[in-house]
Amino acid sequence: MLVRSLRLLALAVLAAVAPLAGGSAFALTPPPPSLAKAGEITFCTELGQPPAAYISADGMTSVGFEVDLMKAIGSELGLKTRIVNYKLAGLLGALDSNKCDAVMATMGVTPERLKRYNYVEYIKSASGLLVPRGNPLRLETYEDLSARRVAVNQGSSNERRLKEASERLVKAGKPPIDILTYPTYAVAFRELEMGRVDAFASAALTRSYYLSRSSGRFEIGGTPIPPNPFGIMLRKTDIEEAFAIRDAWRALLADGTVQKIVSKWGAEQAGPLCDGYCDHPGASGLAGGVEPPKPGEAQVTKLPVRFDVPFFLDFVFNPSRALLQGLGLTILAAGVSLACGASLGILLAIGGLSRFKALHVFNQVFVGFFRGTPVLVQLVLIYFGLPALMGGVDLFPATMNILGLRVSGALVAGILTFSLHEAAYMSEIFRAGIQSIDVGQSEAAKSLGMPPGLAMRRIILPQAFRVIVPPLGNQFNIMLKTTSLLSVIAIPELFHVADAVQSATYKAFEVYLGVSIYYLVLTGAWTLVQRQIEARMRSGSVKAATAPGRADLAPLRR
Amino acid sequence: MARADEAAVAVSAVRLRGVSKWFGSTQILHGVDLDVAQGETIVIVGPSGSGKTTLIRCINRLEVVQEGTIEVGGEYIGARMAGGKLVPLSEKKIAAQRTRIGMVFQRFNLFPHMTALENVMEAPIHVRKLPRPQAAQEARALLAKVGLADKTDSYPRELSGGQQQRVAIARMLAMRPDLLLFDEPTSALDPEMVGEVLEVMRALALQGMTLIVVTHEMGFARDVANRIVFMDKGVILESATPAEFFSHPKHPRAIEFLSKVRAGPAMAKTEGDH
Repeated sequence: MLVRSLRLLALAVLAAVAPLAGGSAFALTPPPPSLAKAGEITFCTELGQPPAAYISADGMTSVGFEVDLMKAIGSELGLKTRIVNYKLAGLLGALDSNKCDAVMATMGVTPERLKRYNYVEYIKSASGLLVPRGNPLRLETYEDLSARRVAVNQGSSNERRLKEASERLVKAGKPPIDILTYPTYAVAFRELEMGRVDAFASAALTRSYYLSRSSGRFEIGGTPIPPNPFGIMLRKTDIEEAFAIRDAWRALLADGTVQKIVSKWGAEQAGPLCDGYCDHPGASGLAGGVEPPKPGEAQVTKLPVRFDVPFFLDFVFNPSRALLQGLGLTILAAGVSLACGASLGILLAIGGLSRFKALHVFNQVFVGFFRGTPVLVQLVLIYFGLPALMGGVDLFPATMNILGLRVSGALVAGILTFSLHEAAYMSEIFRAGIQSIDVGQSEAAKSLGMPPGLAMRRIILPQAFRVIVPPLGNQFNIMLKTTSLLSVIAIPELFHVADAVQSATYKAFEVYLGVSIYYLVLTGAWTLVQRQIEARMRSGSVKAATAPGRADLAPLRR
Repeated sequence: MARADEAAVAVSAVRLRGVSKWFGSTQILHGVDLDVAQGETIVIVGPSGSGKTTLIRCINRLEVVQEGTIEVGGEYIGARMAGGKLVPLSEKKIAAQRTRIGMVFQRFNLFPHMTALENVMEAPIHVRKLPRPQAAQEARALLAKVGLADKTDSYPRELSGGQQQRVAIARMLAMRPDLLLFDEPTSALDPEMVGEVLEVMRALALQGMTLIVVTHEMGFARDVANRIVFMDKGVILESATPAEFFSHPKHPRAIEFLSKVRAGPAMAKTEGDH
C-alpha cells in the first residue's frame, strides 16, 4: 500500500511515458494530416485514478478503462498511441504546451473549459460523496459539508463545485467547507480511510471503484451533482483533430468496441455513453458550438502567443487573501522546522561526538537515513506510512492540539518531517563547527573543573557558532523552498495556493512565474538578513578571534 | 634521591605509583612513582619526548593512565576504592576533583570570546557558583595580583603572549586550587616576555603553594625548585635538590642533557636572567 502511494504521489511532472500498442495497418477512420505525419497520437492523462487510468502493480504498465479507450482510438485512426502521465492539476498546462494532442482523464465539461478547449464528450457521470459506512454525519449534498472536511482531487471539476458550494454557504451565514485538495485520487482516498476527512468527493466512476475496494467500510452518501458530460479535451485550434477523434469514437461505438471495454471494467454504473455531444446525440458539431471545418478552409494552426500581463500583475501585486496566508504558512513552516531541526541537530551532533557507542551509532543511522533519502519520500513515509504502521492509530489527525493551538495534523507531520530532515544536516554542520574548535579550549575548560555539558554550552558552542552561522543561513534558504513539497499533503502553503489558481485559470506561466517572484523575494530578503548577521559577527570576531597570537610558534605538544 | 623522597612523604600532596601510559602501542610512561609534598615546588626536566608533559596531564586526568594510581591530597584521581578495587568515577565527579588542581598550558588556551575578566570569572560563577559581583571582585583582585589590573576588559587577541599567560594563571587561581600544574608555560612566549610569567610563578612558590612545573627554564629550576625531577624515555632517572642536580648529576643521561642545555641558546638566555 505504501509503495503504491509513493508511486502515485511522485510529483515529477513526467512520471511515466509509456509507448503503447502499435497502430493498426488498416485505419478505419482517416487520421488528420498532422497526426498522420507523426504516425502517433499522444494522450495526457493522470495514471493515478483507478479504474479509469492507473499504473498496474508492476510499476510501469498503464491500465484502465480510459487507457483501453485511448488505445482503441489510436488503432481506429491507424496510429500508435502514446500515453503520458501528469498529475491532474498539470494536465491542461501540458496540453497547452503541446506535450500531447489530447487529454483523456475523466475531465468534466465546464463553461470555462469549453471556452478554451474542444471537447469530444463520451460519457455522462454523476458526482457525489463517499463517506464512512452508515454516513454518521448525514452528508448527502455539498451544502451538508458546511464546517466539514472533504477530500477532492486538485484541479477536478468537483473541487470547483465544492468551492462554489462553500461560497454559497458563507453568503448564507454558515461556516465554509474545509476543502482539502490532493494531487491524486489515491491520496485523497487514503485520507478518507485514515479518518482525516469526513468525505471524499468525486465522479461516479472513480467513486464506485474505491467503494468496491473498501470492504464495506464506506458508502455513497449522496449524489448531489447530476450526470454531467465528460470529454476528451483538445486545444481550441485543433478542430480537425477533434473531429477525427469524434469520428473514431463513433466508429468504436458502432462496432461495439467501447461497450466491450465498458463491461470489461465494470463501468456500466458510471453513466450513459455519449457519441461526442451528450446533449445532442448525432449532432454534426461538438459542445460549445464547434462545427467541423469545411473542406478547403484554412485552419487556424496556432493561438497567438499570449502573456496575460494584467492577470500577472494582479496575481503578484494584488495577492489574494489565500496567497498571503499561503506565504505566511510557508514562512511559519520553514521557521519552525529550522528551529526544531537546529535544536535537534545540536543534540545529534553531541551524541555523534560522544564516547558512548550507542549514541554514535544512532547518529550515524539517523544522519544516513535523512540525508540519504529524498525529503518528499520522508514526508509521505511519515504522514501516510507511520499511521498505517501503527495499526490505525493516526498520529496526525485532522486537527491536533499543540501547546493550546489547534493545528492541522498534516502541518504537524510536515514540520516534523522537515525538522528531522534538517536535524540530519544540522548535525553535520554542528559537528564540523565543534570539531573546528581547538582541543585546548575543552582542555582548559576541563582543567577548571567544568563538566562536559557546561564546557560545551559555555566554551565550545559559542565559538563554534561563528563557523556554524553561514551554513545555517543557507539551510534556511533551502528550507523556504522545500516547504513547497507540503502541497502534496494538501497544506495550503504558497505553492499549493498558486497551483490551485493555475488549475482554475489555466494560466500556468503567469502563475508559476508569479509564485517564483514570491519565493525570490523571500529568499532574497533572507539573504540580506544573513549578510547582516555575518557582517556583525565578523566585526565581533575582530575582538575575539579563535587563534592566540603566537600559536604558530608553539612547538607541538607531546 | 631515595632519601629525599622519603622525607617528602610526610605530608604528601601528590602520590604516583606505577603509572604507565600508552598512546596506541607506544608506551610513553613506564611505571612512574613520584611523591610531592605539600608546599613543594617540583620542576620536571628532560629531553623532549621524555614524557614530562604527559605525566602532568595524567595528574589532572587530561590523559587517562592504563596502569598505576594517582592520588592528589590523599584522594584517587578518576577512581575510588570500593571493596579493595578501584572503580572509575563519573565525569561529574572527575570534574569536581579537577577544581582542586589548576593547570596552565603552553598555549594559554584562554577563551577567545571572553574578556580577561570574563575568562577569570567564568569557572567561579558556573562551577563554584559564586554570585557574579563576588566573582568579579575576586577576578579583579587576581588580575591585579598578576599585574593586569588595567587589562580586565581586553580580549585575549589584544594581549601579548606574556599577558595572556598571566591571565591564564589568574584564571587557574580563581578556582582556589591546592595543586598547580604548569605545562611548559613559557615555551610559546617571545623571549622578552618569559621573565614576567616566571616572576608570577616564583611568587606563587614563595607563598607556599604546591607547584609541579614542566619547563626548559633552567634558571627558574635552579632558583625556585625544591627538587628537580629528571625524566627520559618515560622513566624518572634522577630526583634531587637543584644544587645536587646542577653540580653533581648522577645519571649519565642527566649529565648528557645538562651539557646540551648549557651549550644551547636557551640556556644562554636564562643565564642572562640571573
